[in-house]
Amino acid sequence: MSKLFILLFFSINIFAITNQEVANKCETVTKGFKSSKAHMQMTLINANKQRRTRDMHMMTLESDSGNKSLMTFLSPADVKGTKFLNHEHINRDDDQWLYLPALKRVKRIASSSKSGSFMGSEFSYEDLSSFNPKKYIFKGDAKLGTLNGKKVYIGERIPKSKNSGYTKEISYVDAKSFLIQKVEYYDRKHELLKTATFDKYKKISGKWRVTQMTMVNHQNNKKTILTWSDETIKLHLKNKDFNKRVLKK
Amino acid sequence: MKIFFLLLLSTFLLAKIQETCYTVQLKSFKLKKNSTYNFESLNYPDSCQLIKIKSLYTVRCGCFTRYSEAKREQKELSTSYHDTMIVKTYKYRFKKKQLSKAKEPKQIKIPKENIDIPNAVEMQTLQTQTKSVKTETLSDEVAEIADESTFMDNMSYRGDIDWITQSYLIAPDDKNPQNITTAVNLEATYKKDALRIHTKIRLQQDLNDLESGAKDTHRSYARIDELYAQYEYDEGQSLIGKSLRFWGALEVRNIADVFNPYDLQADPFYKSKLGVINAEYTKYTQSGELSFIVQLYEQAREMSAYPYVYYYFPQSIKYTKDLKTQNGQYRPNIYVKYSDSLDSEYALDYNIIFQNGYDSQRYYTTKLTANSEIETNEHAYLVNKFITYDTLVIGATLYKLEAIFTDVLNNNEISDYLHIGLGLEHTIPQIYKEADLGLLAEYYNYTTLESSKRNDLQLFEVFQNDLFLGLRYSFNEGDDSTLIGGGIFDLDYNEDIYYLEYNTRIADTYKINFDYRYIEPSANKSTVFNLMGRHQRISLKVGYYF
Repeated sequence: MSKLFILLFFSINIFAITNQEVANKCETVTKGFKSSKAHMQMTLINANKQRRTRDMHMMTLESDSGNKSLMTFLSPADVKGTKFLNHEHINRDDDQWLYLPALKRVKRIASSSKSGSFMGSEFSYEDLSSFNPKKYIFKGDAKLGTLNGKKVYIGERIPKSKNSGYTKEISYVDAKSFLIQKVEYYDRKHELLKTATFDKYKKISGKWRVTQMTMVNHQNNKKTILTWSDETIKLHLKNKDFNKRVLKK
Repeated sequence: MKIFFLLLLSTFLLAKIQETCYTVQLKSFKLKKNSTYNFESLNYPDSCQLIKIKSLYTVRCGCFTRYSEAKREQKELSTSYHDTMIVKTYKYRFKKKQLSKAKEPKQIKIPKENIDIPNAVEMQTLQTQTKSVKTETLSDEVAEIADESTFMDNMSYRGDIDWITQSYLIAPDDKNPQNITTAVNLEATYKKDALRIHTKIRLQQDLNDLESGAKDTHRSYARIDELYAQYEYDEGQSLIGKSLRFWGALEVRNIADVFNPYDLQADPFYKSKLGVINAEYTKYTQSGELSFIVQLYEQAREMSAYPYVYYYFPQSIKYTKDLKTQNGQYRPNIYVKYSDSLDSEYALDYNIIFQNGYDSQRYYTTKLTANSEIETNEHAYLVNKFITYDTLVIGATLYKLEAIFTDVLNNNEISDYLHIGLGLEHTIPQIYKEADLGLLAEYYNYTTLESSKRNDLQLFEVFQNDLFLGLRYSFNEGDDSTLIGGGIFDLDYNEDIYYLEYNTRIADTYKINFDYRYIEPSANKSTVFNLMGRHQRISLKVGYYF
């Protein structure tokens, strides 16, 4: 009887997977794109369902110490040519600069307010930063559940940054592909604030890339849809392509 | 004449807008050599065309003047096609299609089918092949059209047309109580590989200037602010032509921004600058850059005339555009600039500049003309100048410094001087819903080092011992609405400026700027504001952007 119990105990532990392991696998399946270029369209939908779109061109350089990204705004017309450069860091605030073409001015931005809205959307700066397990604290095993008929691992993660706008995040990860399907964000009052759904993925040059993401804010009933199109990866972009000086070009 | 030129440019701009349209792109792809793509057999809707540019193909549907129309088309097409997107393109490409549509055939034959990496591209109609064009000559025709579209696709435009009205609730005696201005800004850039050619044109017409005579403010003009060529190397870049630069870190007054002279015909609160003819070579270092800049010509400035509120002299003194220089207007200005960033726990952007040439600060002298009029004009003198502007980031606070030390070379009127500006900007995120609140504080000090020479009052220096305190409320609601307000307090001459400014966007195309300003000048010192007189104004600016 006791042998049977021990066997059962080991079986459970063999098949269990921790939240940390799920996060590591999530990172593995999306990591390795090296660099990318894409067109990004952001659709803002207010509580009355009115839509507005914003277009951007985005370049990203993958790095273990934090990704670098350069965003060039294409519309609305008054911000055309405005550029936003972000150097992510794992253990400290990101470095951020904004280029204002009308003034020819490169302006440094204090990036500590990670929870601030990005361009008036429901995405915050931290929602748009790359997923890296080192940014979170994970505890315990992931629960197995279903989401839209798919088996998913459901797990909790807590942002390490004291400047994060969230107290916890619940992620839903496809149990087969380890692609993130949904994340629920809880605010500083521990109430559900937003839900991000990763609507579409596409395999580009052997790497999974998200091509549509929707963020719903449950507290103000606003929604933002982000779509990436015409993405190309592994482009041999270098650090110098993300230097502050590229803003003025 | 100026009105005519303004209308001409406006017409050109509108024509330019009319040359483009919005289209719905269903897909884009690249065909490998000897591949085939049978567009006809795929039964796309009638509004769709296969279009090529360089070596890339796109399938695009419709050519709509309004974005909303394209959006409606996209909604319909989205039921059958995934990953659609709206792009802006040129109408002429569709016209080529229409011309060929009357004839046949439309099928494209490019040997071997092999779809490569998708990419967003501009387009060229390939369906122009007609019966009269033999298959073997198609490649030549395509090459010819491809060259044309390459030039157009390397061009980009942006611009705005602004209507500005300013009413003075309290206006100095006899000065115009209102001014209405139309301004057009147009920028065009040609970019191909490492070469970039850029131009910026500005036209301005003040309504008062149409009534020549006493109300004329000399504020109407057409001018080229920028026209330069820039070439990029692996380890540097060079530039030649007329250009604008920005040097500075502070918000209210950028004392380090000495490269371009300020436009004395513009509203002083809009910080308009004049382009400068120069040549530059920049060498990139690992994280920074070292620039050598030579300004080739010291230009004289126009100034607005008396009835305009911001004319700086009494009515009896007439400004003439006659720049007196110490060593001629072609004496070059030399700048050496080093910029870099420290990548540490506390991020720092720093810039150090040395200048040898004419100072950005000017002084004025008066003379009695043969007609018994008093005229005044600007004087430029030679200096060695050391400049720095820096921003340090600690948490949610930016600490800013702008400082200059000017060593005046052989001038009996002007003393060596120091000018320092210190600032901080702290942001409190999400103070109410998504809105952020920025707290701004800046302090400026100007000191002449020789008491026997002209002082700050005689040099019209406004920020000689001044404190600025302000707030910026960013709504973060999608229209980039902001409310900025504050006060500038002169600690020496008991002079105050208060302002409140609201900016927002309407219908994604129009920008609205509303501002209120109140200036209480010094009662007993001849400051700039004392000379201009006490005034209170409201201003509305509506800008159409394209």
